[in-house]
Amino acid sequence: MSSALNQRSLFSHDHTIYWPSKYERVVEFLKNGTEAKPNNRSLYKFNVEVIVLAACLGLIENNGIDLPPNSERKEIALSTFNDNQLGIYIYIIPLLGEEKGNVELFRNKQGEDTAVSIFQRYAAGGLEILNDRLNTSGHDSPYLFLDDLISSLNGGVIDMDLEIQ
Amino acid sequence: MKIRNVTLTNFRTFYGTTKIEFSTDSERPTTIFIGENGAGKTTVLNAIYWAFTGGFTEQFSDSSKLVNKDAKQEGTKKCSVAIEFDNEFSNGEDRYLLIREKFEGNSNSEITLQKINTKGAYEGIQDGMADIVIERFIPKRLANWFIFDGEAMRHMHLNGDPKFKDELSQTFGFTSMSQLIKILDQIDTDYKREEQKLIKSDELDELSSEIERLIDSVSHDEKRLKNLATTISQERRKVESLEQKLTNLPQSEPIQGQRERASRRLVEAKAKRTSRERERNHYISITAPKKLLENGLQSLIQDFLIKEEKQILPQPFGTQLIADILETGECICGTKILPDSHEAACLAKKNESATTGQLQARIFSFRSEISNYLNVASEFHTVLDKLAEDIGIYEGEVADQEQIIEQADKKIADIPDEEIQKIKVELHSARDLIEISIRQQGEVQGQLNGSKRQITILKARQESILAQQTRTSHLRVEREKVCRLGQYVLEQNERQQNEVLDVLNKEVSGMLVQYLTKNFTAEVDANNYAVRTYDVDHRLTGLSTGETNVLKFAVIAAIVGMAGNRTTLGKVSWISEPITAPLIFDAPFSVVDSEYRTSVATNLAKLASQLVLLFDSAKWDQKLEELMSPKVGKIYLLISNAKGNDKSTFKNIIIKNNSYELNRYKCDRDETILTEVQL
Repeated sequence: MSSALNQRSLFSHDHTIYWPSKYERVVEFLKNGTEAKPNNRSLYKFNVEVIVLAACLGLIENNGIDLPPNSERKEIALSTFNDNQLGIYIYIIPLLGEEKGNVELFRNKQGEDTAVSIFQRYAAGGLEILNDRLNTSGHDSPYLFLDDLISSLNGGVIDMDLEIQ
Repeated sequence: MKIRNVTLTNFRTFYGTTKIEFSTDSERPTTIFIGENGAGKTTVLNAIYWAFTGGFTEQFSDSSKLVNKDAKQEGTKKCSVAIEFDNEFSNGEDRYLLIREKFEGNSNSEITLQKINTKGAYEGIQDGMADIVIERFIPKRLANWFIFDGEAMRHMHLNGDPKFKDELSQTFGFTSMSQLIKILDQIDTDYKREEQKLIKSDELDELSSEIERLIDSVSHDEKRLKNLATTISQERRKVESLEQKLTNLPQSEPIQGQRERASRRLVEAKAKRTSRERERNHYISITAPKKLLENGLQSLIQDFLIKEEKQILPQPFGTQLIADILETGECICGTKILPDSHEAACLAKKNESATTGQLQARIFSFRSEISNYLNVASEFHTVLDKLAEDIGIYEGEVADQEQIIEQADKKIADIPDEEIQKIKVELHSARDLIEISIRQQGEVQGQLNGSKRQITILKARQESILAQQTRTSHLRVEREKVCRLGQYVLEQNERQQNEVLDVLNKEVSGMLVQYLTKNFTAEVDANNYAVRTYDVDHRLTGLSTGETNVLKFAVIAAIVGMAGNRTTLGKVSWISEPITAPLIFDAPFSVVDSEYRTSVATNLAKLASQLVLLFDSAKWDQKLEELMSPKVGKIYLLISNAKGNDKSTFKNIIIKNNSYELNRYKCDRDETILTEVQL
């Protein structure tokens, strides 16, 4: 189901989202499997999609980690998230995580910065988990890898007890 | 000719002397022999064949060992077959005893023929004459027409085979008539030569030599035509046989076609599978985050609802109202709002925390969007299952087509390509040869017709010159007598041949109507005696193998019926003397489908002047017995006697409600015992 929401409207300022470059291998795997270029078995098209998936996983597994130094990061512009209708996850992740139900995040730049920061931590944590799984997985198909991941999380998906503020 | 009796002495399985009386009753002309496999049916048939011809049928094995093995052990060195037969139209005056003997160790057999006079006394016939007399009753080369086993039907060809025409012409006496016409023509030529000698005319000499040259040319062309007809017939048979061979071999073209179709389907199925897989991958990639967060999103929406109910979501303050207060410097409650005052700072702070329109819009959009995400997440498994089902279907299709391709490849690998190519080359060359021969046939036929026309013209001119001569008038009178006789024989021969074709067509068609379920008729080609069948719309039609064998029986029955003047749909006024030998069949129904058997048998019994049928006991049944009964004069059982202990395989047969045994054990020797069934 496609959304009619222009996700740019959720933000007042430009942001850059960072992720640890050491997990580039797992990002590439989830895009094109073991091959270098898009092929019949390709799953994700863009890095940003994998980063969103990783943030969800990091949140579910409650694994938020700090970003490495600047030289060990890769970046994605907020506009790339919005162009792919993924900007909303920058709010979803914090609202289900550390900033449970805090709608003040939507109010100003400060709130946006907080959201981006939390999103980055969970994305990095999720990438760490994905990387570990990939190292122990026998799959060479990104689809099967993801299917396996979803099945393993079945029933264990996030069910947060949100505090009413 | 009718066979009265046959006496076998130490011949193969017949130990000692066995005399068999044949039915000669014209109302009940059929003699039947019934026996199990190996009981001696083929021995009886070959005993008769051997006595008349000195040869054997193809199915007769070990023809060099004729003397019964037990008799041989006891010191007997000779076996023989004696046949008493007569000319059926001679009222017993033309009666003979033929004896053929063979001594162990001698490669040749010896025959003796004695004429039996009306008083029953035997008069010897000179050795050299014996063959000539026998040839009159049953010519050696026609023996296969009258004495044969059912299997031999396979070698009979009705497609214009010159051999068939030759044998038919001889059976009906056309060959001897043609020879007579040639002799009369030669006498006419001799007379003319005599006349010419007396007249001494250069023109006559020239005419005569030209006529002789043309006659030689005609004779040469006739031989060529005959050879060409033989070639065409042989090559047609070869084409038929090669086509059959080719049909029986696996062909690469249809398998290749099947493989190509499967390959196309495989490509389509793979493309569809890939398309569905991409669809699935795209779907899971964009839906996975929503599915993973499904429960959390639900809680978040719930949280929004609660906050909404408790009215603790940010409320709209009305930014315009604050702006108006700041501009006018007075609140709606009357309090003065001075610039940079504590009140102004308080209002500015309120204004900052109440960017209400934008905040409200973002919260609303966010809530609405994550509600959509929830809907998507709830369909996650349903959509994925449907896509997986589609992919499964295409995977099944891919597997099926791959299997077809694999099997096709295996079949193609097994095809004997070299053999097929060889057959195709042979087929091509046989067809070419047929085409060339047909073309040459046309050319030679044209040349032949031209020569014959030229002979007629030259003979007329010769006649006219000779007619003017008075010195040779006496010779001319004699010659004219010969001419008239020749003309008469020629006309009669033509009439008779036309009658034969007419009656043959009627009889064979009549039998086809009787035998086959389809409304087919048969026509015999006057040129080559090819038998062709037509449907009700007179379109040329082919017959199945079973129907073709029925047609062959119909032709044989019609021929023997015509020769014996026993046909019902038409009769031939014979000027020549046709062969009227008995028809003797071993295993007559080995090539005839069961549905046709009774009608074929009854028809043969009706048309043959004497019919001998040798049946396998398994083929004899009550229906056949009932149908043939009015035409059967004698029935014999060929019982197999065997040495040694009883075995469980005792065989019986029921005839006329009586049960008869067909084999016995614990006998003195292995032999065939003949028992006549009382009718």
